[in-house]
Amino acid sequence: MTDNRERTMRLRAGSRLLRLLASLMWILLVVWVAVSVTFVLSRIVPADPARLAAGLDAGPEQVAEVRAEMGLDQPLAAQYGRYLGDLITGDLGRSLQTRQPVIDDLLTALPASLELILASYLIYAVIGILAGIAWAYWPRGPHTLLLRFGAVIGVAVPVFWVGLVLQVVFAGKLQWFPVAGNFDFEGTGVPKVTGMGLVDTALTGQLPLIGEALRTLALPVVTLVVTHLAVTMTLMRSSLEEQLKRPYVRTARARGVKERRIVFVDALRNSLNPVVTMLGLQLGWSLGGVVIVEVIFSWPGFGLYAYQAFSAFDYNAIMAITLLSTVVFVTVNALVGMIYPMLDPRLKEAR
Amino acid sequence: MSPILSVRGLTVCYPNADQPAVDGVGFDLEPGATIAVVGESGSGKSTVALALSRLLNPAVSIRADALTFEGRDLLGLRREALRRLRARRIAMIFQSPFGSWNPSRTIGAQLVDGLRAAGLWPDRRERLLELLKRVGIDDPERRLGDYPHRFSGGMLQRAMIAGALVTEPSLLVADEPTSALDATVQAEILEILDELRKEQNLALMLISHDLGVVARVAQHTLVLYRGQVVESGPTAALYRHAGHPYTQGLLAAVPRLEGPRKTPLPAMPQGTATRGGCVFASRCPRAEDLCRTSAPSPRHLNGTDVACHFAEDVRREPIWRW
Ligand SMILES: Nc1ncnc2c1ncn2[C@@H]1O[C@H](COP(=O)(O)OP(=O)(O)OP(=O)(O)O)[C@@H](O)[C@H]1O
Ligand SMILES: [Mg+2]
Repeated sequence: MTDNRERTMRLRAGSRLLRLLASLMWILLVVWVAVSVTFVLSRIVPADPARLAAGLDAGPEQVAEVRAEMGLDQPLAAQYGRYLGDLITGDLGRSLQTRQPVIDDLLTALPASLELILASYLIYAVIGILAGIAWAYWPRGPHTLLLRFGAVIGVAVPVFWVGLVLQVVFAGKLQWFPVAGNFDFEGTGVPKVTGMGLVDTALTGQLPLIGEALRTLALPVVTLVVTHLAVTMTLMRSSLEEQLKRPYVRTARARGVKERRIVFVDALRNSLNPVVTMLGLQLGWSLGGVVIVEVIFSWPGFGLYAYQAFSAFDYNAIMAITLLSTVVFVTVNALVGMIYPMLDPRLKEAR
Repeated sequence: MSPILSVRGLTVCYPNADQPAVDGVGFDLEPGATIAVVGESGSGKSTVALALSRLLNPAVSIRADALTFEGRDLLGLRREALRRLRARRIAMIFQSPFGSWNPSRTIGAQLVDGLRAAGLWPDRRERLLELLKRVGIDDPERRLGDYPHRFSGGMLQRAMIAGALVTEPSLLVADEPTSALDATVQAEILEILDELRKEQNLALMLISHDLGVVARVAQHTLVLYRGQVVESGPTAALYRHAGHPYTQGLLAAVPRLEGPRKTPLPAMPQGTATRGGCVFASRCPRAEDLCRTSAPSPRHLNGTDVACHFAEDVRREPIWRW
């Protein structure tokens, strides 16, 4: 019997590894498809990258020269092969706009976006979940008016509107916060460790600098929080309310279990599934989600970079941006998929 | 002996319902006795059960001339007192074995929650294991670590019984505890319930839509129709000479192995509640004008209380034979 059990254990461990490999393969496959689609699209659009790269006042020879240099005169298959090869070695090409390697551009832009995303995500995930729980737990009372109002605002009002209003009122009129830009490292002597203003100033431990970093973060973060909070909150609430109507809750009540324990120990865990899914999707989309906010607040992150790249048909940058968004989205989703079994014992045992 | 549970004129209205789901129900339950509540689907059996332990949501209105349990007014209880009462004195078992357990917590964790709520953990640990074994769960210590999906419906219901009785309540309300199970398991579980009832001097309220099931264990039976008690009395008397057409119909509908198939009850005509008249009038072959205009009040007749104007005739000449 022990023998059997051991064998089962070993089999299970083996299948877990297989599963991990399978999801890795899946990620790679999706990324490859995304890369290929982007490649094809970039060759279909009528704009001529060589023309753009050479500049508007360049003569035909110069354009041809640039075309050869970029490999655009080669057959499509060769271009595709070269593109894939470059990708694997981490060479994303040069940006037409900044004249820098795209990878360098991205590496400077990403920390800024990451700061924005992490700060807002943590706030709206935590507050959204807590507010949703409170709403389901105390379904009546004056606070529900506020919650309902917040939910409607968050869903009905578009991001750019919230951002612009906050900017006009709190940065323009009241001047409590800077109108645009992220934390400016220049002249402050703060060493660039992560590239995220708040983290790096926090590392120095100097309160005025931290305050300054917070001030730059405030408006874009609030904009993102306001527009994302409602979904988390209402989903959490409806999911928990739905669980509280289940027969097992009635059983627990019939046993005399305290209401607080029923909500937090019994129902909450079962209600997290859709919330986790949604938060996972939001995190996956987050690179795309910050575009508008970064443009409004001239926040020099991934979103602003993407916006500029798309406007100028900076096609190396566009390819890189698409690639990165896809990788992030697929990876985050795969990671979220690993959370479900923790919430559901049936899935856990199935592994 | 004074009754442990006394119900008078219990009336329950769901919000937005045009008629009460339970309408003027009354009965007494002696300590250690069993009462059966029968009636077809929608007759209000579960609503009675839930009203007793105040498990209906606050939007549902519950009124009663009296609703006393162990001398205390159930309707006047505050939240915490009610919770303690549920934890220690009134236990419940519900119809759906799978729905009644939280799928993401182990059986043990959920049973222990009940003991904790009753303040009996870990004192009753051994007793819980013993009871689990009694109801037919082998190796209970290990099975307590299992999640509900590892259990069969019958096993879940057995575990539910053990969990309900480990706190030694004085009343157990079992709402169709075996309806979802197959016949052999059904009989076994009813037997276990009955045994434990005798051992622990437990009053049992057994809800069922199957008269055959309750006949074996209940001394007293209450027949509900559209929220009203149409007939009640000692089970034996009810069986021998049912005086209400509806009771006769129910008895005739009990499936039997031998004998010819009995005429089934005519289907329930929805939404034709006869205001002011007898609740059963629209389905009753015996109904006369009187039945449609005046509601019969229960009369004591040959051992049962019958709410029918023509109980004597109906008894002499049954409408449905069983
Ligand atoms: N939550 C509810 N909201 C509104 N009406 C309800 C609710 N629950 C039950 N009812 C109504 O109350 C009446 C009695 O329902 P109840 O569940 O008590 O019947 P039952 O005798 O237990 O039936 P079953 O044998 O199907 O369990 C029915 O007409 C039903 O439609
Ligand atoms: Mg029911």
